[in-house]
Amino acid sequence: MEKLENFNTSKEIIDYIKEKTNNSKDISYREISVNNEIVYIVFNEPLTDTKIISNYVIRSIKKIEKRLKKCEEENDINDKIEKKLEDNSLPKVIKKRKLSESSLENNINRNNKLNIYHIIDVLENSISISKVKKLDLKEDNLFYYLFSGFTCIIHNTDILVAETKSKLDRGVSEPKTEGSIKGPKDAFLENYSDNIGLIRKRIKSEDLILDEKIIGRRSKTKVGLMYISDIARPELVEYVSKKLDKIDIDAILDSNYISEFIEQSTKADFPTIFSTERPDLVCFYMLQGRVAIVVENSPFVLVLPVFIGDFINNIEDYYQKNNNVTFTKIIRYLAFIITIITPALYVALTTFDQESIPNDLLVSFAIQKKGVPFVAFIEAFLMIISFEILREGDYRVPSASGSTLSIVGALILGDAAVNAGIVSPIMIIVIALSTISGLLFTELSMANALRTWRIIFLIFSGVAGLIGMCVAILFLIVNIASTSSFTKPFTYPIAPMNLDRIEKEVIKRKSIAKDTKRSKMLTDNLTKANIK
Amino acid sequence: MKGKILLVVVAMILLSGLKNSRELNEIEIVPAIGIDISDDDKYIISAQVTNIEKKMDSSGSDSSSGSSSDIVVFESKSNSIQEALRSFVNESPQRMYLAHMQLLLISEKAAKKDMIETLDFFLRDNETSNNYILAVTKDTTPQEILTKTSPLLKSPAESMVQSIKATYKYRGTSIDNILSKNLSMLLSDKKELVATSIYLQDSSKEKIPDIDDNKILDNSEEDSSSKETDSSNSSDSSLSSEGKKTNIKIGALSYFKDNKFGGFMSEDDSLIYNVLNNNVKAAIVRSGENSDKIVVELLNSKTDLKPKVVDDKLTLDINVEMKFNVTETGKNVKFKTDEDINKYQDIIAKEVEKNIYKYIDNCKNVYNTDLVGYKEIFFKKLNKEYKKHEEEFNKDLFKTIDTNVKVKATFPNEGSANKNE
Repeated sequence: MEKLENFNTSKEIIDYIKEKTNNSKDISYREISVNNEIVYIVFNEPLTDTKIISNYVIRSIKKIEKRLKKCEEENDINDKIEKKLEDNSLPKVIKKRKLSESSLENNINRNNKLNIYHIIDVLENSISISKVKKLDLKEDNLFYYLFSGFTCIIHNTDILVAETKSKLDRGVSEPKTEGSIKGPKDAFLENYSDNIGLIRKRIKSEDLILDEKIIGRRSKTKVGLMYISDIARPELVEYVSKKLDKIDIDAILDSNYISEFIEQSTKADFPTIFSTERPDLVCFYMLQGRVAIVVENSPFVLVLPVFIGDFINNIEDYYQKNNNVTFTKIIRYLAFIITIITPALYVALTTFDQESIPNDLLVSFAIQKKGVPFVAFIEAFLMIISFEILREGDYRVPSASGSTLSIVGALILGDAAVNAGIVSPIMIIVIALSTISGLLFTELSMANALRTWRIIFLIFSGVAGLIGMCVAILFLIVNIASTSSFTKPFTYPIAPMNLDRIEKEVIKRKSIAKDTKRSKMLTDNLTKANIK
Repeated sequence: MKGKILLVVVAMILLSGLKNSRELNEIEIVPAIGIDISDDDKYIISAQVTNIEKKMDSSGSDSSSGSSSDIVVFESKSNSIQEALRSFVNESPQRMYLAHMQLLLISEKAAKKDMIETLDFFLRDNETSNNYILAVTKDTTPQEILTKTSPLLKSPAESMVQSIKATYKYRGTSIDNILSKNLSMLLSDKKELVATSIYLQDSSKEKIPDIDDNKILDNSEEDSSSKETDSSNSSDSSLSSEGKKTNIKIGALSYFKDNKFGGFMSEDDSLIYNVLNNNVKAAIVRSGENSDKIVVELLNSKTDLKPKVVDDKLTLDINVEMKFNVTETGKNVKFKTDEDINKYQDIIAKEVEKNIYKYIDNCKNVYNTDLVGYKEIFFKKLNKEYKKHEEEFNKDLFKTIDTNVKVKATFPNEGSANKNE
């Protein structure tokens, strides 16, 4: 950058690029002569679409050549130019040139109107590519454009960049991590502008603001802060915007990089930022007054602030008849509790508080426990660890060997371990129940937090039975209650209590036609719908 | 946060955690315990233990070897219950675990000792549950009942408890008081303890039981004690002859006087005991025989006991309101008019009244025990009079108290069969 302004010839610029990129092979250079003036085209091959370059860039340059020739014929100066070019080496002519307008005028006079070829200026107006920019070397970084898929057209010291990006991303597909039955089935992808588009096409309003920032010293990642201007609280937008501005890192590879920078409760186990790949969910949250952060190259869009209920509830509830959703919601809350406490409860009851188990059940527990050499705590721990290995393996394994994994996992964990007398069958039921309940929570950070607490609970109950479990519950409540997501209490609307919201969101889902108000916690603009 | 959690875990380990833990394969689940008294006045404790190994075999594979039983019974003799129970460790690899005890069987002989003394261990031990049913074995020993198994009854204690509860719930002739309820009866000197009874019926010898045969069972002291010694002597022989078909049956209530076993009531009296205590869920009442018979099922019963003084004499008014469902009638019984209904309502009321009078009479003359609870009623509702006569109450004053019984029976439903006529 520093030296760019001092370049005098296009050759120097080319050399500079070659030197800086260590003559990287993926950058292509091409010379095109236009009326004996040499124009350089520089582009990064993998990032660009060569069809666009040949069809539009090069063709546009050639057209200019034709047009210029016509002009020359009309002006009757052909002879002179040909003569000049025959006996002069081109660089010499260029060298004598100066950039300033005044000197240009001089040149026109001196060099027999050769200098009317301000090819770049003409090209900027006539090139048939939508996104074109003439670079001011003092302000713009040539390499940012070069590595964003732009083609640089260099003539003398003028540089014109034209967007010739090739599509490196996959097309819009179904969400991979958040299943949907009745709702929309499109998901975000790695392409930044497509992601913006997926949101924009759902809210066609000028109030949907996109505030774009470029973060990352090396990666130069585009980060878009999106919100609806008359719903989202300005102080929240400002807070997030400031946090984003403060980020100073060399590269942003995924949206989680951003979320770890801006998260408020960094010690909390539960995630305070929601990341989703569903555009409808992002719009749903933005319409409540939340803020979304779209990060380039990440198919996950961040939403904040969030409450614990957002991780338990599902947008899908709004896509089906509301009356019967209550039971689904209850099931999810139950699953939340079951996934944390079942192994701990089993260990506590069978090793400390047998008197709480009904007689018949105790007998069948005892029958299954007979011959298992480990104490229940160790048994539970072994099973949790093997289930977690299985789960992690399932995430990482290529789908080709996925079936092998599931067969081996089911056989080893389900049957062989019992027959070998390592664990009791009831323990497999307990751990399976706990793990399956955990699968209801699609957000990975949430699932991991639940796993952490499952183990904490297990340790407590293994040490002190039901009393230990009570202590663990206390710790869990303290942990959740002391979490805050961007100054908003994580446990809202349960604590601070808002009965109206609890009825509308936590227990039931109120009919969309009757739910006219937005949550006061998130916005001042409360009216959502009007009933006539 | 994590640091704090670690601190708490360490503290819990160092303080009292883990100390109290016991794995399921370190305990023997004891669903029932029997207490008997030997001839040399020592406790004979028998503990029924669920045989986990056996159950595991039968649930694991189809071949269930008939050699071992679903239950194991340990027996031991000692001066104290605790010593006897602990001595089982010599036989069994695990410690007896009493928290799931459901049934405590006491032989008549043991019941004749002071119950508070006998039950002291079970009340004091912190592991023992308070949720067991107390039952007195009739004409047999607890050991004998506890060792009885049949293919149908995989866990005998469980099924005994079930049938005690069912008898109470559907016939009203038993009582399913768990110990925590019994305890108040034990400790107060105003109310007498009752408990259910269990006996063995030799089905090979006896005919089909006739439930109408409602005689008060012979329970003169010498007789029962002689029987007791007989059966305890012959317990070994009965154990060896397993082929003999005997059934465990739930009998009527047994009553205690001053916390000592008194005897057994008849089934009708047991029902009335529950009626008077407002403690009846369902019962069957019959009046007349054959074509004149009318059988009703008790739906609802409310008993009101009113003590009063008439002409310087203590009297007790018993008002019972009962609702019945007509369930079975003879040929001659017709419900055509309201008069008919009233007539039969009166007949049933009379029948119940007769039974109550008979019960009171039995209490005074046969059982010699204040099973109506005069003492408690006067103490609670007419305390002044009670204090005047406290001395006499402690003697057998209840025998002289007059009782007026009034029963009102209604049939909300007389059965739909007649309506169709």
